[in-house]
Amino acid sequence: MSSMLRGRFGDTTGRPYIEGRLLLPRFRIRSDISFLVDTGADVSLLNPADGTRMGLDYARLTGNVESLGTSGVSYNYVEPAFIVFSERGRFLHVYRINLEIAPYDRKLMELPSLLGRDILDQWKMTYNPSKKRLVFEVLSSDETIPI
Amino acid sequence: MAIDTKERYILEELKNPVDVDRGLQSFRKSVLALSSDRPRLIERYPKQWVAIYKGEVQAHGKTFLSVLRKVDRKKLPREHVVMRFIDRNQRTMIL
Repeated sequence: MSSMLRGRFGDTTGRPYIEGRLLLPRFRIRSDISFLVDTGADVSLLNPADGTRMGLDYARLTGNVESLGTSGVSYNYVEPAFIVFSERGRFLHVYRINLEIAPYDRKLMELPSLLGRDILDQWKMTYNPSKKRLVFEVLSSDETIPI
Repeated sequence: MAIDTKERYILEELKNPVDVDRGLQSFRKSVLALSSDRPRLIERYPKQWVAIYKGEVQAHGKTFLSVLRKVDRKKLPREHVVMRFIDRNQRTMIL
Protein backbone atom coordinates (compact mmCIF):
# COMPACT_ATOMS: atom_id res chain seq x y z
CA MET A 1 0.00 0.00 0.00
CA SER A 2 1.55 3.31 -1.04
CA SER A 3 1.93 6.17 1.35
CA MET A 4 1.62 9.76 0.16
CA LEU A 5 2.66 13.05 1.71
CA ARG A 6 1.21 16.34 0.61
CA GLY A 7 3.30 19.42 -0.01
CA ARG A 8 2.12 22.81 -1.19
CA PHE A 9 3.10 25.73 -3.34
CA GLY A 10 3.32 29.19 -1.84
CA ASP A 11 0.42 31.27 -3.13
CA THR A 12 2.51 34.28 -4.08
CA THR A 13 5.98 32.84 -4.38
CA GLY A 14 5.12 29.53 -6.03
CA ARG A 15 7.84 27.93 -3.94
CA PRO A 16 7.40 24.29 -2.98
CA TYR A 17 7.07 23.53 0.74
CA ILE A 18 6.26 20.67 3.05
CA GLU A 19 5.64 20.79 6.78
CA GLY A 20 7.39 18.43 9.17
CA ARG A 21 8.31 18.13 12.83
CA LEU A 22 11.98 18.41 13.71
CA LEU A 23 13.30 16.63 16.79
CA LEU A 24 16.73 17.43 18.21
CA PRO A 25 17.30 14.76 20.91
CA ARG A 26 20.39 16.33 22.49
CA PHE A 27 18.54 19.60 23.06
CA ARG A 28 15.18 17.99 23.83
CA ILE A 29 13.72 20.26 21.19
CA ARG A 30 10.79 19.55 18.93
CA SER A 31 9.41 22.08 16.51
CA ASP A 32 7.20 22.21 13.46
CA ILE A 33 8.91 23.59 10.39
CA SER A 34 7.86 24.58 6.92
CA PHE A 35 10.67 23.24 4.75
CA LEU A 36 11.45 24.54 1.31
CA VAL A 37 11.74 21.50 -0.96
CA ASP A 38 15.19 21.83 -2.51
CA THR A 39 16.37 19.08 -4.83
CA GLY A 40 19.57 21.09 -5.32
CA ALA A 41 20.52 20.73 -1.67
CA ASP A 42 22.58 17.62 -0.94
CA VAL A 43 21.39 17.64 2.66
CA SER A 44 18.74 19.32 4.77
CA LEU A 45 19.58 22.61 6.45
CA LEU A 46 18.14 24.46 9.42
CA ASN A 47 18.27 28.20 8.91
CA PRO A 48 18.54 30.76 11.74
CA ALA A 49 14.90 31.89 11.90
CA ASP A 50 13.68 28.39 12.68
CA GLY A 51 16.63 27.67 14.96
CA THR A 52 16.04 30.84 16.95
CA ARG A 53 12.29 30.33 17.13
CA MET A 54 12.71 26.86 18.61
CA GLY A 55 15.17 28.19 21.21
CA LEU A 56 18.23 26.39 19.92
CA ASP A 57 21.38 27.13 21.93
CA TYR A 58 23.88 27.86 19.16
CA ALA A 59 26.77 27.95 21.64
CA ARG A 60 26.32 24.22 22.27
CA LEU A 61 26.43 23.21 18.61
CA THR A 62 29.42 21.45 17.15
CA GLY A 63 30.76 20.63 13.70
CA ASN A 64 32.28 22.72 11.00
CA VAL A 65 31.14 21.30 7.68
CA GLU A 66 32.13 23.18 4.57
CA SER A 67 29.19 23.75 2.24
CA LEU A 68 29.10 25.39 -1.15
CA GLY A 69 26.19 27.64 -2.11
CA THR A 70 25.45 30.46 -4.53
CA SER A 71 26.87 32.96 -2.04
CA GLY A 72 30.10 31.02 -1.63
CA VAL A 73 31.48 28.69 0.98
CA SER A 74 29.83 28.51 4.40
CA TYR A 75 30.58 26.46 7.47
CA ASN A 76 27.67 24.75 9.17
CA TYR A 77 27.13 22.90 12.40
CA VAL A 78 25.95 19.30 12.28
CA GLU A 79 23.46 17.78 14.72
CA PRO A 80 21.77 14.36 14.81
CA ALA A 81 18.08 14.91 14.22
CA PHE A 82 14.79 13.29 13.39
CA ILE A 83 12.24 14.73 11.03
CA VAL A 84 8.68 13.47 11.13
CA PHE A 85 6.15 13.85 8.34
CA SER A 86 2.48 13.09 8.66
CA GLU A 87 0.25 11.43 6.16
CA ARG A 88 -2.97 12.77 7.57
CA GLY A 89 -4.83 10.18 9.63
CA ARG A 90 -2.70 7.28 8.40
CA PHE A 91 1.03 7.24 9.15
CA LEU A 92 3.91 9.19 10.58
CA HIS A 93 7.15 8.73 8.65
CA VAL A 94 10.31 9.26 10.66
CA TYR A 95 13.75 10.04 9.22
CA ARG A 96 17.04 10.13 11.08
CA ILE A 97 19.55 12.51 9.57
CA ASN A 98 22.61 14.53 10.36
CA LEU A 99 21.07 17.97 10.09
CA GLU A 100 23.25 20.84 8.95
CA ILE A 101 22.58 24.02 10.89
CA ALA A 102 23.59 27.41 9.49
CA PRO A 103 25.31 29.67 12.03
CA TYR A 104 23.19 32.44 13.49
CA ASP A 105 23.23 35.42 11.17
CA ARG A 106 20.65 38.21 11.21
CA LYS A 107 21.01 38.59 7.46
CA LEU A 108 19.75 35.05 6.91
CA MET A 109 16.58 35.34 8.98
CA GLU A 110 14.27 35.47 5.99
CA LEU A 111 15.58 32.24 4.49
CA PRO A 112 13.50 29.09 4.97
CA SER A 113 14.98 25.85 6.19
CA LEU A 114 15.68 23.39 3.39
CA LEU A 115 14.59 19.83 2.86
CA GLY A 116 17.41 18.29 0.88
CA ARG A 117 18.11 15.06 -0.95
CA ASP A 118 19.04 13.17 2.22
CA ILE A 119 15.27 12.82 2.58
CA LEU A 120 13.94 13.62 -0.89
CA ASP A 121 15.86 10.67 -2.34
CA GLN A 122 13.58 8.43 -0.30
CA TRP A 123 10.48 9.79 -1.95
CA LYS A 124 9.03 9.90 -5.43
CA MET A 125 7.88 13.43 -6.14
CA THR A 126 5.00 14.66 -8.29
CA TYR A 127 5.69 18.34 -8.98
CA ASN A 128 2.90 20.05 -10.88
CA PRO A 129 2.60 23.75 -10.01
CA SER A 130 0.04 24.46 -12.73
CA LYS A 131 -2.34 22.05 -10.97
CA LYS A 132 -1.05 23.08 -7.52
CA ARG A 133 -0.16 19.47 -6.94
CA LEU A 134 2.91 18.59 -4.91
CA VAL A 135 2.80 15.02 -3.68
CA PHE A 136 5.47 12.68 -2.38
CA GLU A 137 5.18 8.93 -2.45
CA VAL A 138 7.15 7.52 0.44
CA LEU A 139 9.53 4.83 -0.80
CA SER A 140 11.38 4.35 2.46
CA SER A 141 11.69 5.74 5.96
CA ASP A 142 13.59 4.87 9.12
CA GLU A 143 10.39 4.26 11.00
CA THR A 144 6.72 4.28 10.05
CA ILE A 145 4.18 4.73 12.82
CA PRO A 146 0.48 4.11 12.24
CA ILE A 147 -1.79 6.91 13.43
CA MET B 1 18.62 2.47 8.53
CA ALA B 2 17.17 1.13 11.78
CA ILE B 3 16.74 3.40 14.76
CA ASP B 4 18.93 2.12 17.61
CA THR B 5 17.93 1.72 21.24
CA LYS B 6 19.65 4.79 22.62
CA GLU B 7 17.62 6.94 20.30
CA ARG B 8 14.37 5.29 21.19
CA TYR B 9 13.66 7.87 23.84
CA ILE B 10 13.01 10.49 21.21
CA LEU B 11 10.27 8.31 19.89
CA GLU B 12 8.61 8.92 23.22
CA GLU B 13 7.77 12.24 21.68
CA LEU B 14 5.87 10.27 19.11
CA LYS B 15 4.09 7.89 21.42
CA ASN B 16 0.84 9.66 20.69
CA PRO B 17 0.89 9.81 16.90
CA VAL B 18 -2.62 11.26 16.80
CA ASP B 19 -1.38 14.35 18.64
CA VAL B 20 1.61 14.68 16.33
CA ASP B 21 -0.62 14.38 13.30
CA ARG B 22 -3.06 16.91 14.72
CA GLY B 23 -0.26 19.32 15.59
CA LEU B 24 1.24 19.13 12.14
CA GLN B 25 -2.15 19.68 10.50
CA SER B 26 -2.71 22.72 12.71
CA PHE B 27 0.72 24.07 11.79
CA ARG B 28 -0.05 23.51 8.13
CA LYS B 29 -3.28 25.44 8.60
CA SER B 30 -1.29 28.40 9.95
CA VAL B 31 1.12 28.24 7.04
CA LEU B 32 -1.72 28.08 4.54
CA ALA B 33 -3.37 31.08 6.20
CA LEU B 34 -0.13 32.98 5.83
CA SER B 35 0.16 32.04 2.20
CA SER B 36 -3.43 32.75 1.15
CA ASP B 37 -3.76 35.94 3.21
CA ARG B 38 -0.49 37.41 2.05
CA PRO B 39 -2.04 40.32 0.10
CA ARG B 40 -4.01 41.34 3.20
CA LEU B 41 -0.95 40.88 5.40
CA ILE B 42 1.08 43.09 3.08
CA GLU B 43 -1.54 45.82 3.54
CA ARG B 44 -1.67 45.49 7.31
CA TYR B 45 1.91 44.57 8.23
CA PRO B 46 4.24 45.83 5.51
CA LYS B 47 7.92 45.24 6.25
CA GLN B 48 7.10 43.60 9.56
CA TRP B 49 7.53 40.18 11.05
CA VAL B 50 4.32 38.37 11.91
CA ALA B 51 3.69 35.36 14.11
CA ILE B 52 0.76 33.12 13.21
CA TYR B 53 -0.74 30.47 15.44
CA LYS B 54 -3.84 28.41 14.69
CA GLY B 55 -4.35 30.38 11.50
CA GLU B 56 -4.42 33.82 13.15
CA VAL B 57 -1.86 36.61 13.42
CA GLN B 58 -0.93 36.67 17.11
CA ALA B 59 1.94 39.16 17.09
CA HIS B 60 3.76 41.50 14.74
CA GLY B 61 6.69 43.88 14.90
CA LYS B 62 9.72 45.29 13.17
CA THR B 63 12.24 42.71 14.26
CA PHE B 64 12.21 38.94 14.52
CA LEU B 65 13.30 39.02 18.14
CA SER B 66 10.68 41.57 19.21
CA VAL B 67 7.95 39.39 17.75
CA LEU B 68 9.42 36.30 19.39
CA ARG B 69 9.29 38.12 22.74
CA LYS B 70 5.59 38.87 22.16
CA VAL B 71 5.02 35.20 21.35
CA ASP B 72 6.65 34.28 24.66
CA ARG B 73 4.68 36.90 26.59
CA LYS B 74 1.47 35.42 25.21
CA LYS B 75 2.73 31.99 26.24
CA LEU B 76 2.22 30.65 22.74
CA PRO B 77 4.03 27.40 21.94
CA ARG B 78 6.98 28.51 19.82
CA GLU B 79 7.25 25.10 18.23
CA HIS B 80 3.86 25.51 16.57
CA VAL B 81 4.12 29.19 15.64
CA VAL B 82 4.86 30.31 12.08
CA MET B 83 7.00 33.44 11.74
CA ARG B 84 7.50 35.31 8.48
CA PHE B 85 8.72 38.66 7.26
CA ILE B 86 6.05 40.43 5.19
CA ASP B 87 7.81 42.16 2.34
CA ARG B 88 5.96 44.31 -0.17
CA ASN B 89 8.32 43.26 -2.90
CA GLN B 90 8.81 39.54 -3.25
CA ARG B 91 12.49 39.04 -3.87
CA THR B 92 13.82 36.34 -6.12
CA MET B 93 15.36 33.52 -4.15
CA ILE B 94 18.23 31.53 -5.60
CA LEU B 95 19.71 28.96 -3.26
